[in-house]
Formats: sequence, C-alpha cells, structure tokens
Amino acid sequence: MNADVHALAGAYALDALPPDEATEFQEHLAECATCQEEVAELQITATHLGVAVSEQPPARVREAVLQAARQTRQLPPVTPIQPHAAPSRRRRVWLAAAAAVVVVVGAGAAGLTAVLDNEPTNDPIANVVAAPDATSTVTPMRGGGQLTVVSSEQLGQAVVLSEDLPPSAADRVYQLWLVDPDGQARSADVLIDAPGAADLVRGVEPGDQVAITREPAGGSEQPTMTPLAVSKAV
Amino acid sequence: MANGAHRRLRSVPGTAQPTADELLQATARGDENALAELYDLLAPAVFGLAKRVVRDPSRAEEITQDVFLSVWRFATRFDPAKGSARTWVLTLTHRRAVDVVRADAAASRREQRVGATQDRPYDTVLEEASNRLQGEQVRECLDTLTELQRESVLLAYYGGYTYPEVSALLDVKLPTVKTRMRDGLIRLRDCLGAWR
Repeated sequence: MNADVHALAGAYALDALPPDEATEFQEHLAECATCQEEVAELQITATHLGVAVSEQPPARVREAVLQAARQTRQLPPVTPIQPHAAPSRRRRVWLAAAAAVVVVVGAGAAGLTAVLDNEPTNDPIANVVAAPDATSTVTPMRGGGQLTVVSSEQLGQAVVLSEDLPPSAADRVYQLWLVDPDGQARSADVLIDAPGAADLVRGVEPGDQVAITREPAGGSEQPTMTPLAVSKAV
Repeated sequence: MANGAHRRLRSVPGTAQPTADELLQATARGDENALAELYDLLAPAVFGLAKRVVRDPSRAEEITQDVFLSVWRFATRFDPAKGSARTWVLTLTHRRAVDVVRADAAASRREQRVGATQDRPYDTVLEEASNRLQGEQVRECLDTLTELQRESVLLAYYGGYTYPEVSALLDVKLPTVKTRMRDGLIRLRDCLGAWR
C-alpha cells in the first residue's frame, strides 16, 4: 500500500489511531510483513516506556487476580492438533484458532501469522483461517460486542466470530447476511445462538459484505432491521 | 531451569528465576503458581502504566486485574517466537487503559472541544513523564528525540491521546504528528537497542 499507511505504524504502536483508521491499518497489517515487523519492534520500544513508570499495586489486586483465575477456565490451545482426534475435538481446537485471530488483532500484536502459520487441515474453519489470502476485519457492533470476519477470496468462504454480543431475548436470534455491492442481502444460513462461537459462511462472492441482525427465532428471509454491524468480507 | 519432564515451574532457591516467557508458558498449562510469579514480575509495570494513563488508582487496579485475567485465559495463545511475554502483556495493558480513557472522554467531548476539556493538562503529562521515569536508559534515549518527537510519543503513550488530539494539543499538522510518532519511536528503538 502507499507510504501514508506505513507512516501510521508509529501511531498504531502507541494506540493513537482513531478506531476507523486503526481498523484500516490492521487490514493492511495482515498483508504487510514489513509492517508487522516494524509494529512488533515499535511495540517493544513502547513497552520500555511502560516499564519506566512501574509502580507496585496494592496487595489486594494480586489476591483478586489469583482468585479470579481459580474460577476461570482457560481457552484451549490451538496446537498441537492430534492427527486422529475426533472431529468435534478438532473443531473446538480450530474455533480457538479462529478466536485467537480476534485476540491477536485485538491486542494489536503483529501476530496474525501465529494463527496463519498453522498447517491447513481438512477442517473448513481451519482452512479459512489458514488460507494464504485470509484477511481479518474487526467491526464494533451497535449496542455492544464486536464482529470479526476472517475471509478468503480464494475459498469464497469466511469465518465469522461474534464476541461479547448482548444476550438476545429467548424469541430472537442473531442472523448473518451476505450483502452484495448493490446492497442486496441474502441469508448466510447462519443463526447465532451461542455468543463467542465461530461460524463458517460459504458462497462469499467478491465485493460481499457480512452483516449481522437480530431476527425472530428461526431466522428471516430478509433482514428486518438495520444491521448491527456490516463488515468487509472478500 | 525448566525442563521438559516437569509440568510446573517453581522458583527454587539457588536457581535462576524463570523468565516472563517461561512463566507465561507454564501459565498456559494451568499452573496457578506460574501466574502468581508472572504477576509478581509484571504487575508493577502493568499497574504503573495503567495508572499513568487513567490517573485514577482504583481504575488502574481494575485494569491490572482485567489484564492478568486475560493473560490467564489467553496464555495458551502465547508463542514466544512471535514476541516477548512482557511486550504482549504491556501492549494489552496500554490498549485497555486507552479504551477506558477514551470512553470517559467521549462523554465530555459532546459539550466542549478537545483541548478545552483537558482534566489532564498536557504539560503535566510531559513534566511528570520526564520527572518520574525510572529507567535511566529510557530517560537518556528520550533526550535524543527532537522536542516534537518526544512530545508526540509521550502524549500518545502516557496521555492516551489519539494522534488527531495530539495534533490539536501541539498545534501541529496531522501528517507531521503521524510522522513524528513513527520517527520518534524509531529513534527511541535504535537508542535503546544500543544499550543492550
């Protein structure tokens, strides 16, 4: 991309980009190895500034952290993948891999490759995440939560993660849509009832966007509300 | 120190202390003691940075808790080949602190323009930054930056300001601020590298 985008590496490493520019830069970062390296180095540099203002926190914070950890389950690891593991197990592993994209992007680390470096497998979600042309977009949702779309134009597929969705009423469900460049929405045939899950969307055409709405239980033919978020796909 | 036969890492008297990277890897295996040791190692930096950015000590405590709980949950995702544990944790800390500051600022911005509503005057940010920095190397290296580079970097990092806000505060054009942040950090990186 152009030099102007590269110039944002410093501001990005300092968390000084406004949200829209941060998203744009993250998209660029996913495709730019040089930028990943530079951002990683500048984040190390920024870390020195953080360490330089160290201050001992009150002892109660330590207790609270350890107490909370005892009551909190850790995310499952992404690797190694057991070659003969049952499909359900593999799926869970790769959900974690896809979820990791969110973490990595969210943390601003130049570590998207941490996920993308993994071997392709016969798991569809894994394949999208590991596709050489996979790109990741994080979009905040109106009313809370965020939508992360990892998509591969080559595969014509996307993995969609919804994080921190406000719980929907019992008779409502979140539904995913593909929106073509003319604004025509078609159902992605994905209903989300478990927040935080990763869902595979097939049949993604170039120029499509991914949108999410809240719909009556069972889903709708066409969206019945303005999308809570619209994300670039391939 | 850590050997493959043992799933747990403990600091044994007379042996080298485990590094943050090693502790984070042990944490990923569910070792609560490793998390406690990692906390002892990094919490001062996490709390200090959070407090510098948000100012309010009790919110800084919340951020510290939040960050270490995330470290616990996501430790399985840490790959030492991609960066150090310390950078990972402090990057997360800064992001959280900045989120808190910006959520607060959003409300007051509705009434008044940025610059008129600063409860954290920027000269205070800069003054405190230079007075209270503990690392001699960091202090010396910051002195190698131009004034504009230093102000841009410090207002963004310790002040939690976006680059358009920094541009408004310093009355400098947007592209200039972007560039100064980047070349300031690069100069700081090169200077700190020379110390290693």
